[in-house]
Amino acid sequence: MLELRGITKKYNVFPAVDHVSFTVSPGEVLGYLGPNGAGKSTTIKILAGLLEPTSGEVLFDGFDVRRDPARFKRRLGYVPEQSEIYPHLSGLEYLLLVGRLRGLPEARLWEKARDFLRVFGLDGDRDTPVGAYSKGMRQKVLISAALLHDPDILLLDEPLSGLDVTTSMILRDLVRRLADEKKVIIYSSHVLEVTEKICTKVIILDKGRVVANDSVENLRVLMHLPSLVEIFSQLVAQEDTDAVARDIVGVMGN
Amino acid sequence: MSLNGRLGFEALMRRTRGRPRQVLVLTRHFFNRLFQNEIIPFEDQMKEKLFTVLAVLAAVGWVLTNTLFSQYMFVEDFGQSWMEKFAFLAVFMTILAFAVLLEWDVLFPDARDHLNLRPLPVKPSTLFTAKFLSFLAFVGLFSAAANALSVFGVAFFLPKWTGDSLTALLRYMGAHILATTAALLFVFLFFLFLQAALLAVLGGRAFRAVALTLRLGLAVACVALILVALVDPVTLSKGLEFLKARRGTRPSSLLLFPPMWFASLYEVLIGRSEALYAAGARVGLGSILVLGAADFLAMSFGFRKHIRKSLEVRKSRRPLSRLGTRASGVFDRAVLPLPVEKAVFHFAAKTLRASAGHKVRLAGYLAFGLGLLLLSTGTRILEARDPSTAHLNVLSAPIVLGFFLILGLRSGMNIPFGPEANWVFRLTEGSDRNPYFIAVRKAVVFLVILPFAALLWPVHAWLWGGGPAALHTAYVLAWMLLAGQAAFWRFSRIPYACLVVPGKAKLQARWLPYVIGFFVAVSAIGTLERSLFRHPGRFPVFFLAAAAVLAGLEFVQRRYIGPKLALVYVEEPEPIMVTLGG
Repeated sequence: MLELRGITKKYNVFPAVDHVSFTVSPGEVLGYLGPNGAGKSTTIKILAGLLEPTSGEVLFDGFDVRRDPARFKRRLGYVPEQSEIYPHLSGLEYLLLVGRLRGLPEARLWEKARDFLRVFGLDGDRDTPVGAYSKGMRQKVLISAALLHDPDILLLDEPLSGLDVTTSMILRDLVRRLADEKKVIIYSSHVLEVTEKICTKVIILDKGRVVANDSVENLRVLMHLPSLVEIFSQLVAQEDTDAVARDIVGVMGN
Repeated sequence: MSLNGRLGFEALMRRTRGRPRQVLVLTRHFFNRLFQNEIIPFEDQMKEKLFTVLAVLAAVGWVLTNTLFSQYMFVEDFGQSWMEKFAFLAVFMTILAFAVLLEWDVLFPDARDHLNLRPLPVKPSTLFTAKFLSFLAFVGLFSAAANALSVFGVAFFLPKWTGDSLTALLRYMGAHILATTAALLFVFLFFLFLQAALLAVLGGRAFRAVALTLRLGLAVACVALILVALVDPVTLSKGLEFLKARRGTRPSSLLLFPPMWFASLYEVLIGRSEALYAAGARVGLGSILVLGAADFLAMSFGFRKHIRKSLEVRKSRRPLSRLGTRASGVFDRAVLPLPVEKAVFHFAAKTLRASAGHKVRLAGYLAFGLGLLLLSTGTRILEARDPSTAHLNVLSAPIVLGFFLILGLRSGMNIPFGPEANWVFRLTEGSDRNPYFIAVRKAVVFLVILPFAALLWPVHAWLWGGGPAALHTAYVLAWMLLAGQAAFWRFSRIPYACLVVPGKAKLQARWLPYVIGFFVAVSAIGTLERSLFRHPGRFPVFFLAAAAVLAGLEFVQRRYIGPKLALVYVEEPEPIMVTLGG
């Protein structure tokens, strides 16, 4: 089980994440939602070990991951929000780099890397530098790199970014299957329709604070609202979206 | 601006569709991009660096003017000062050539420029006008720095022999500034033409390969020439003697050297009327006009091709042949047993192969070593027929080169490639860091030291025969391995993956003891080798001792240092004030 206890991250004095606590059990898919700047990616980066929290702790199966970050990272797969990959490496070279850094045996790594590229339809571009890849192709490489070592925890930060419809649907089914295999999955996204379908529970974050933490079904019942979009609007988007749209059109005409 | 003035300006903008403003904005943008790179990403530091460079240029101008022209305090200038003017112009033309080679990648708008600017309503002619104007501003700035102090030096030493009037003084100063600026403009236009011509003639892959090779070769030559000119008065005076002799025997042959064109322009501008100068000035000015027109045409015609080359994706690299794959597999199994070692080693190798910037940096260090070598040994390398009697500098020449190569590699490894992408190393970091550090040291040995030693043997075999060359190569190899250990002692970064904050205050504060230490060490290494060649039976003792020291150092690194070192992903900035003891 993955547990966050009172995680806070401050930049100067401003909290980007403010006392966030939640748990995710094996087999659960946690939807991590919030508007831009709510602190979603900051939390994910803290979990991935890319940022140090100002206070609070992350526990996995009861142990504090700060005591042995390498042990935790060995069991972690991460798809970042921005597809920053070394542009001079090819897709295959990138997967080999990640696999070797993760200590995978050479023969198995080559086989897996080739297979991942094949199933994602990148076989023909495996020797092309990543700098020449489209956003979707990079995303496929990043997803492959995150799954290469069969992780127990999967952090997906906007994983659908740049993916075509078919690959998005494949990813949706893949997340479900991985949950069936008792993986811990945190799925951060702005696409509420997809989140609603694949997540067993959701956390809604606003200005760094948790404003909702329950299953979609329970939230619907509690708030008497029919969909996650409306729950989200009620909790977070306090602006009249139609009025803002009218304003934008007005500014365009000036 | 008055209302009428503003209305007039707006009408002009409408008529020209805002083109002058676009040119202005783009000129500024391209000018700024000349000074921006991955190494110095922060604007303030970039400005600070730029001012330092300009100040150094001004100081070089001052030193050079004093070295070359101070004799005219006491010796009358009967017209013989054209040689010193030639030397002054040649040095600054070479320095600018080196600067342009560093800026090679931004001479033409690159893919990022095209991606950002092409969707905007900006005409190609506007783009190139702005690019051209930014170059003129760059040359102007460079010329201002070169002239800032040197013009006063010249004004102090030379005009008094042609009359003490203010007119003579101003004429000299004007001639100095104009001749220098024209010479620098010529250099810039020449390199622009070179790139435009290569772009027009070669395909994308060939262009990249040829341009990089040419750039490296020219950078090495430039640094070596600059070092010789600034540090070695003997060679400089030999060069001046050569010019004097040529003037006496075959004066027209001097016009084969571009600095002579602008030295001639200098002489014409101060009122000397010899036919040689008139001809030289004509060639100089003509070359600027011809190159300017050629650049314009090449840039106009090559524009579409260039856009295509900039925007087209780099397609597949050729995968390794079956034999190559097998050899690579054998190498990996034998040398890099752990997966992390493989990852770090291959990442370093691929980055060094792919990154032109890192290669140019390495070439810069190599050029510095070559320059020192030219200064210290010259043609003595070819004259030495026996290592036991060879000059010390000849024996230590490869050590000097090798040392700068290792230093260049270390310096380059500190500079990140794709700084945003280093999260992958942070995410996958294991608890045992030793394999990372071991892989770095193996990369130093297999990517630089062994290839260098492999090149060394045939050269020395040609000079001294196979046996002595093998001993010499093994001796150099031993010292390079030791230097590699020393240079990467407690090195705690993954090569090309650490975010670095510029500012090498420590190195700036300690450069003098480092340089003195280096020369003492090199001299001692040469002396030891000569004595070993006189008593060859002692070579095995040396090799055994070197092997023992190397093994000891590697043991200490693996056993005591590696396990305690943390991998550094972001280098902390150094304090502003660092003392020798700090």
